[in-house]
Amino acid sequence: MNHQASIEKITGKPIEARAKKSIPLSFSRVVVWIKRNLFNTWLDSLVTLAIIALLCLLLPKALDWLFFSATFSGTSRADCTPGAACWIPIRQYMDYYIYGPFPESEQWRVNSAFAVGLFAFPLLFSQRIPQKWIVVYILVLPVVLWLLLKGGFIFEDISTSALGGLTLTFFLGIIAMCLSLPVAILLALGRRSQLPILRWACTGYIEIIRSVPVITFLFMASLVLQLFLPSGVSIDVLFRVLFVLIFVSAVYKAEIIRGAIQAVPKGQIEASYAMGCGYWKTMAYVVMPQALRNSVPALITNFIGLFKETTLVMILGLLEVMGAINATFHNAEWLGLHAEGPIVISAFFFIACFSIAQYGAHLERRIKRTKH
Amino acid sequence: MKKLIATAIIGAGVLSASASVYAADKLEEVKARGVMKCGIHPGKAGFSTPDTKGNWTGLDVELCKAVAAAVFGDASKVEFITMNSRNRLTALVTDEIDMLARSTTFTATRDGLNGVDVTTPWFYDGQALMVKKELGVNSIEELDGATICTYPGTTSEKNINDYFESRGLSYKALIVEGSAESTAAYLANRCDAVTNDASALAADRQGMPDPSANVILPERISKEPLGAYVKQGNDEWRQVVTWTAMALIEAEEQGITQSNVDEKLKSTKPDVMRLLGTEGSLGKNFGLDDKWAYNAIKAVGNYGEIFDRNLGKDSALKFDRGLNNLYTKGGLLYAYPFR
Repeated sequence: MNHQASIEKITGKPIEARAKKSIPLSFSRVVVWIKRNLFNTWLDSLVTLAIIALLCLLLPKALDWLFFSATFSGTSRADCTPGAACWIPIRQYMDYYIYGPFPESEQWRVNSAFAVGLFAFPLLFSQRIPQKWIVVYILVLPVVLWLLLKGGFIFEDISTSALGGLTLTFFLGIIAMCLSLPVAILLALGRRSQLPILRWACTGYIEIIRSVPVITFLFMASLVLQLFLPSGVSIDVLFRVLFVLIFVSAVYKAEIIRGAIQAVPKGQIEASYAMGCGYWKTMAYVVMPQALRNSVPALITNFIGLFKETTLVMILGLLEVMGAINATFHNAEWLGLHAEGPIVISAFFFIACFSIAQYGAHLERRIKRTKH
Repeated sequence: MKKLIATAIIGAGVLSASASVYAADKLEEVKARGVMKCGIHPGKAGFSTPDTKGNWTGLDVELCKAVAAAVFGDASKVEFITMNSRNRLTALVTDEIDMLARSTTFTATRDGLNGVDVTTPWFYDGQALMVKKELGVNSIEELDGATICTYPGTTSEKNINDYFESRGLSYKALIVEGSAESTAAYLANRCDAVTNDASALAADRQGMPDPSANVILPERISKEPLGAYVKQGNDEWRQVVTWTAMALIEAEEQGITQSNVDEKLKSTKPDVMRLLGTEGSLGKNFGLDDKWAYNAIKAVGNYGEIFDRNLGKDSALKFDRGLNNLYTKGGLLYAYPFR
């Protein structure tokens, strides 16, 4: 406070109102804020008024359609109010959206998988747990998810066609996210390697993969791959999809990380070598911690993109949450409801992706704190 | 480019298909596996949609169930794998699925080139026109000078053109992209009639505020026989799928239903006895149990029951039997004799 007061004395100008938390909120301050931020010039005023007018025009209608006139309870199409959203099918099919056609008696496995997957979140946000354990958790997570949802070891095998809905989206999204990062780190290191063959191989791989649309790889995985295999041998479609998602998205992450590696001052690497650290030690303790920190915003964007890309598996006939929702709206009872499905899909992906983004923001704040 | 890729894929498919001709027949493979893999549509009203429990229902789905019942005596021994229109035939060739019941039109090109075989038509679809009831129109002939909503550059536009031209009728085309858009244009009275495959029109109609105010005209201006495909070179398996479908049609002709099939076991009518396996060994000849048709009927009912439940009078779609009626009732369904 004293500090601020002295600044005011020196400059003769008040420090911007919003920076001062101690000043109580008053009507005149609100007016000033509105004047300064919304009606500063005549152009600002015009834009503000136009936006307000537009909101007044659209918002009541949208809210009315979405909530006030919408139908939430009932059993059939006849219960829906015409001209407003009808959320009955969403409620009826909620179980299907979450579990897909997963056998009902085994649904505890899906619940456990969700729990194990979502537990990663508090873990990631926690600052008490050693990072080593978090890394182990993230690397073990795909294996656990696979066992729970697909079977193997002591768990009964579940057919791929029984995986669908949110279960499948989470399964693909989480496994691909967990495994593509390590692959990306190796690719980035490979591309900067001193060994020419390794460098060429990684560079070639990255350049080829990132120049071709993901959708074509999914097509190839679905149509072409099987033709090259000897008859009778078939790779589970889930494996193929995961393979594509992991190894394609790793390429984009590899380039992000490579950029961040190049931003690490060369002197640090040389110093590390000079102190007798080998290549791996230098990378693990000097380069990577800084590179990964710097690439957080871009990596988070990539993770979000990857999560949304899981919807592309519809091409292979896998009904993840979007496919499942679309399918139910083809049911004769609910034909003609065009908007409800996409709205629910958007809401789900917004929640999921916004959560990932929040983790990114948390990481950035944490990094900022540790830097000073 | 798409065509080039498709040709390459089909070519490769044919190669691999011919390579595996000498493998054991699919029927043995399916029996040994204990579950039949059926490729279906990921969401088509009346043909395949999931219910609230995630179980698939629909006309195509029930054909798969019937085949499973004929092979295993248990209609639940079928795994449904959703297919899109691009990978559906390749999936057969690569043995990802055993049969494809995904509203796929039987065409000479598919049968001849793609390494797959047709079985028997399961649903006679075809391009049709839908008009508002209040127009009082009963046939396409009465639509002279009407405005018709069609899709751009598709065969449907060409079919309409050919149909009207050959009859000396005139029409105005309103080109609209997509099914929802064309429905909207039709509802907004921007066109008098809307055209699509009859099954799709039935679904569009059901999505309208007042479905019963619209009528699908009886003429079909294109031939779209939909039915199950199997992989080429699996003759026994193809027979099983073909004759299971026929058995359900024959059951309707013989008046055998899901509920009276047990009674009919006591029937002394030779046609019924041979179908239900109380006489002769038709099932054995196909490599199945003699009770194969009984099991299929017991599981899903006869064709008429399946149709009514999913598309017809007992469903929301209220689709007319039309061509999909028995030949004795003016339709095209004609099962070969069971003898």
